[in-house]
Amino acid sequence: MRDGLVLGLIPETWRFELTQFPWVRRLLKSRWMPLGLILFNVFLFTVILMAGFFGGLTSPGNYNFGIMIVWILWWVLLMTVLVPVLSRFWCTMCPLPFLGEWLQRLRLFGVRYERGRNLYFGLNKRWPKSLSNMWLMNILFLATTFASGFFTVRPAATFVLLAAIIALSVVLSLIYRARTFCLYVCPVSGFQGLYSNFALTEVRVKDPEICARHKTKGCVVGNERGYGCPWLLLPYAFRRNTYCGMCFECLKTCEYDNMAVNLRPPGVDLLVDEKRGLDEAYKALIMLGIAVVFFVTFQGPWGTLKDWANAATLSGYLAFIGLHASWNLIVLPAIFLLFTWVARRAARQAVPLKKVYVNFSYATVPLGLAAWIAFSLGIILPNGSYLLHVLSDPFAWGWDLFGTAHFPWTPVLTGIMPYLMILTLLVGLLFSIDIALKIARQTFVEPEAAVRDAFPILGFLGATTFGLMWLFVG
Amino acid sequence: MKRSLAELSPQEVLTVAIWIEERNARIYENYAEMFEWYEPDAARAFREMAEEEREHGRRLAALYAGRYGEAACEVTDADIQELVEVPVVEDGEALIYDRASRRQAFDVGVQAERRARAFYAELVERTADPALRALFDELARVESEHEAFFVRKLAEVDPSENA
Ligand code: SF4
Ligand code: SF4
Repeated sequence: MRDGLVLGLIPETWRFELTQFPWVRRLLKSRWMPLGLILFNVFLFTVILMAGFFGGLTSPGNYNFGIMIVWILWWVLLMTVLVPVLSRFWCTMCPLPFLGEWLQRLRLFGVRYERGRNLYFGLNKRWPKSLSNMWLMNILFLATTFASGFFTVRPAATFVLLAAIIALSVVLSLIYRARTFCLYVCPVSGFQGLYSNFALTEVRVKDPEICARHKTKGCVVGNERGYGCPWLLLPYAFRRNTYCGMCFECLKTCEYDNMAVNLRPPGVDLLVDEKRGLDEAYKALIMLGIAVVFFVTFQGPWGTLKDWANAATLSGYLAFIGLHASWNLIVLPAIFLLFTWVARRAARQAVPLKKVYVNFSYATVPLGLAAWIAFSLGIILPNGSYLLHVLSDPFAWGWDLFGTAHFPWTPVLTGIMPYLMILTLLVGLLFSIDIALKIARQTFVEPEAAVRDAFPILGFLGATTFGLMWLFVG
Repeated sequence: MKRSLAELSPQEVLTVAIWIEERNARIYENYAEMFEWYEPDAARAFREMAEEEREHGRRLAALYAGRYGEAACEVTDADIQELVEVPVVEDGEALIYDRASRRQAFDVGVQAERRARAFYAELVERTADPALRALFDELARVESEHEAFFVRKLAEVDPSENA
């Protein structure tokens, strides 16, 4: 697979500007975007919180609106469509930081701007430098998955999780600047950021020369049309999707209409050889590891494991947490370390092991994403029909709003589901191989030996894929 | 239509050079504003650089006055093809990782001055007109003094400050 081409087919530099269409640009420059979407989701999440609250600890998960919308519909949409296609578009419309941001701005619709800068309510402190990375999100996401067995069966668990996230985001918004909560704390932010590097969509500057000549840089400092990038990026310069929350403020603030939303080939940001770090490497491996644990626990044939995760007994639950944490934090990273060590030995070059480890971890992203898409298929195809039920009777109070409250459980395409999962994984593997070969060329100085140098990593990717396939078919 | 610097008269080149110093002072001031909220130390460094650029501009203006007196000349950098000596903070994620520092700020200045010096030096090679050549040579020398100034500032920054 040649450098400069994705899968040897599409130029990495290929872009199709969606904002070239006047109506798209007008829509994204309107202050109703994304406010309208957020308000809709605020309404939806209010119903979800109520369903979680009233559903308590006992009502069956498959008949609870909160559980079905969050863990079936939202999760599946997030993993199969939103992140791989639209990057962090969920962050565009996420209702969780809504209250905090509203308080910071003290405006729902307009822009607070005086004497050359945006005004914010609150202390606007800087987040500690030592926490300005993905480590906290790695830990919080992993910790959240410890309770994964509860989320799908106990509505109150979903209520507690969402309410805690909203409360924390409000408190942090009043103390820290901009979207600190989203950047460094939100448990689902880290993987969205990393996996968005694979996405087909991006917000980017059009002509860097215009920015270079532009003196006032409204995209950073804000102006009367919008806020300086709430995600603390320098919009005229960033090169990866990781931290772009797709809020479209920079489209509103740029005086030259020099920001664009583009379609692009998948995976190109994974090749950006800057800002790579151990925190993101761990994020990639943890996501892959959790996908394996979830398959084994929730879709595998081992009922005991599922009982452990559901806390049928305290000792079983503690065993689940212990195994889950050590697999993700120690065992899988150590296995990957072994493979990268072999790759470095094979390359016989004095590249620091940490650099080899971190660089190649980005090659696991397409495979990790594919594993999550496959896992999501295993959720939605058998269980999707429950959604019709809960839409009609969200609080399990015997309502029948849309006449679908008694729709029977109807699994869809479950006969071919394992093959769909395998196909998804193989596509992910293909992209991972492509990225691994290119990263080998970036990391080691002998580009012509990329296949040899990447061979151990290809081995890791292949073994992981076959392991997962065995789980599906098994 | 935009012209290349090599196609301008010496008077126009000097005017553009003065304009560039003023433009850069504004850009540095703006970076100072951008960073004020996040990283006051980096903002301070940018303000120092803005002041220095203004001083460079004043010196070039004195040179212009000595040669051409009050004669006005309207050309600006928007009229020329090349993008000369634009200071750019290229680390788009600097604020996210809290990595903006005085060191980074001065480094932006060093890079801009270095590019400008190389740019004028190349024009010396390419230009046949002796008067213009002499002016480019002079500007390359001035830029190398500026570069030395920013390198000195960079060296003064405590090496333990975040890189
Ligand atoms: S406001 Fe527009 S032109 Fe100016 S720096 Fe930002 S993106 Fe570039
Ligand atoms: S660069 Fe910043 S302002 Fe622009 S869409 Fe991304 S997060 Fe929003």
